[in-house]
Amino acid sequence: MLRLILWSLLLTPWALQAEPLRLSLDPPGAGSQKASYESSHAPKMMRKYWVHGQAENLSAQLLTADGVQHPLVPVQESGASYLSFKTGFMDGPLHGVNQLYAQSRRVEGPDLRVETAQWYNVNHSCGWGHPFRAEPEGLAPKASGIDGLELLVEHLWDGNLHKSTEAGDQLQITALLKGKPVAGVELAVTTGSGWSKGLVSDEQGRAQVQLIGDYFPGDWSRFKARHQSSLLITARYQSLQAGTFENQPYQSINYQTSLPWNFTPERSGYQKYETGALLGFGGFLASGLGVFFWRFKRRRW
Amino acid sequence: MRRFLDLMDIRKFRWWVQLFGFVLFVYGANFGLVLDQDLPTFACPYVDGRSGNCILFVLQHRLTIPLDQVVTMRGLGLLMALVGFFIWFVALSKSWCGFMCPMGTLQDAIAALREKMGIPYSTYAKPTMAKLGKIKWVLLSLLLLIPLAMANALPGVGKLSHEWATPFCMICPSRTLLPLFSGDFSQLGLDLSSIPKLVLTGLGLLVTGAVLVGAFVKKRFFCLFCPMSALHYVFSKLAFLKLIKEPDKCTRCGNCYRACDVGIHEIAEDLEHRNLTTQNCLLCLDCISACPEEDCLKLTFMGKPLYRSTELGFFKRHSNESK
Repeated sequence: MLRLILWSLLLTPWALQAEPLRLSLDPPGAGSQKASYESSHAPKMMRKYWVHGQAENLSAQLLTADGVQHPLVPVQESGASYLSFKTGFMDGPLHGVNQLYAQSRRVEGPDLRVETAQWYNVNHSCGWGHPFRAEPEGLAPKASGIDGLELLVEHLWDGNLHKSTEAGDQLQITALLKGKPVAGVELAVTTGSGWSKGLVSDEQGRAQVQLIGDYFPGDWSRFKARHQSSLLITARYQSLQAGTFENQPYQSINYQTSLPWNFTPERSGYQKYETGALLGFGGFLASGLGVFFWRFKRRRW
Repeated sequence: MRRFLDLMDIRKFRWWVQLFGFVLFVYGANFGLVLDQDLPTFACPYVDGRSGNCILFVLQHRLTIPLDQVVTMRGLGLLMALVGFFIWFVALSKSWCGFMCPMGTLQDAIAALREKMGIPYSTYAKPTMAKLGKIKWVLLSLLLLIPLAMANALPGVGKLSHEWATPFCMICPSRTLLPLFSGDFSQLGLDLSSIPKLVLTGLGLLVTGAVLVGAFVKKRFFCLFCPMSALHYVFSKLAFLKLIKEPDKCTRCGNCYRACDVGIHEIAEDLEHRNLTTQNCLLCLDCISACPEEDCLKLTFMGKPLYRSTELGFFKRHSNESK
């Protein structure tokens, strides 16, 4: 037990600073630490995601929108790993949200480190229609039950399968361990600008955080309403469960999970409803008076 | 069956179909009803519960295409949208405007309110109608050209900013008015995020105010400027449904003109052409219903009469109204 405590003390600062296993559209070394952006309006025939971080004994799986699990084989290229899968043109069952998982396992000191990198792929084209309005369950992310720590985040997209996360939104996060809600998971929500907020999941595995606005171009003429700020949700949980992995004994399991996402500036920051309603009323009044005086001028007494 | 059709009151029938169309295009998707993405009517994409998409939105969206990519999947997407539109349109022709358009139904409801209040409606002289009729073609041209200019650099000007995206939708009163029926007031906002958005949303709100007044004093006011009507007209010669007039049976009594919501002069005055499915026509069939001459006006489907004017039908409808 003493050895476990010493190892934990020694490794904790390192573990907190190390880059978590995560998925990205960019290969490692491409520069940006931010989660790159994937459109929820344009379809693609093939999806490809690069694995960042220390990947050992890598396994992967895809939970498609129709609820079917598909094992994926990681591919090595130029010293890095990537995962890919087809999202064929007009492929009905895949029209929805695909949940991708890459998992790495290794024994490190007394710990078995089980790192999971998640990705939500909103596979949608407006040309395919918006049939999910009547089926809210088809819009919600599903629990995959993977042997690890999993994050489910709600309301990241709207009923039309368009990404709709804005600054100011409340993120509802549920942490699951092997498919079941788990309390005491340490969560961190970090934006591209470096802002970070720590959370701990409750008895239902839930935690909630309000996203801050982190896009301030300084000059109105440079403001872009569709600017994508990046977001990375990470989770950590320690389970005091001993065992062996590939003939190596361990005293506890250290679960870590990451999920990248993007968000746009808060709509109410640049849309003025009172001014808009006044302008509409102004148009109504001016037209009404115009018609009244026109008719008054042409009246037959 | 023929006798039933001859004697029926098309206006009541149309009102019920219009109500169905309104519910379908405002709430349909909430009940799992999804028709298509390329509909020849104002199934406004800004309404969450719509059961399809207006082709004008789709065209603006997909025309944002570089010219060197026209012969690719993107070009195919544009072609598929036009094919989808064509199939829907050929089957029902301009009756999409008269029977299904939710914006048309809203205007009819406003006109009915005016009628209840006893306020007289406006009519426009033929030259005024001709001048106003050009606006819809200008709007149609702009909504096709602006997306192209966003994807292709113009000499000396460069590309238009993507902030000009879907320019017609931004000024269309359907965007601001129809979402209100599902409790969504978000389209009433003035967008200050960029100058193009400010101009377009500001213009859209002014147009909305003006259209509400216009629809109150002139039946189907917005239809006079609607680029969908212009797009319909481009394909109307190929459509199966047509409004046919037998000039030799017309007495020029003017009943049809008085019944016409849009106020098309040609319906009463034109004694040369048989096909009177003009650019402003909504195929609402009110003119056929109001015509007392046997077989003078008729709606045909691939040349076969579906609904026609009859003396007996006219008097039956007239006596019902008198009661």
